[in-house]
Amino acid sequence: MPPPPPISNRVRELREAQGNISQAALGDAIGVTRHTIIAIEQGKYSPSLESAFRIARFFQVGVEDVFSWHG
Amino acid sequence: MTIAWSSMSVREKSAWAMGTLMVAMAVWYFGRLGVSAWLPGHSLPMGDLVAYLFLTITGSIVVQVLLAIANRGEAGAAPDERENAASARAVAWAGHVLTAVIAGALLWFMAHRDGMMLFHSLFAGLLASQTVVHWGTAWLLRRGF
Repeated sequence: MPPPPPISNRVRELREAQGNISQAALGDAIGVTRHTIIAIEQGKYSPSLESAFRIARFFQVGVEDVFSWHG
Repeated sequence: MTIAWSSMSVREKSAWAMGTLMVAMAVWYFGRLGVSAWLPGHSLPMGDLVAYLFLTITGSIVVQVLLAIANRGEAGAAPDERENAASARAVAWAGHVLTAVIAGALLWFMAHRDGMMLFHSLFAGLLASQTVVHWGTAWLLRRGF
């Protein structure tokens, strides 16, 4: 396994807090596949800056409310 | 790392399947060719080459059609940023493999003037680089990056 990226996120937590939105629905909303949302939630993939902003906007929070840097 | 077919995206399934097809066809082709065909003095195995190309193209079409039927909703969608990034990284790895094989084959050719070895080495390098593209993409999508 590769070392975990120095970025953690609260995507799953926010998704569940806002009516348990499905991974597929979130993926459709920001323009990625359900599998990419799963990879982001599992910390296997750090999204592009554009997708990070789209995710934050979807949840109506700031980017730093979704993603944290631990570098 | 667990590999669960049902949890894979259609692109990951395609990458695993195409890489496996490439390896299977390479084993078949080079198994038919035998070791002696690499030596100077042998003619190009045109029949085996044509059969290889026909079987590989046909196999690829069958694999893609089956995947499209099994994943109707997903199969027509464009790759997203993660899939594109995985593919780009695997293509870069394949470029290194192909470059190394070409350099080695050309050095061998300059030293021995052995065109048959040059041809088979370059063909093997192409197959190896294609396998790296497919399996590399699949591995990155599974493991994360």
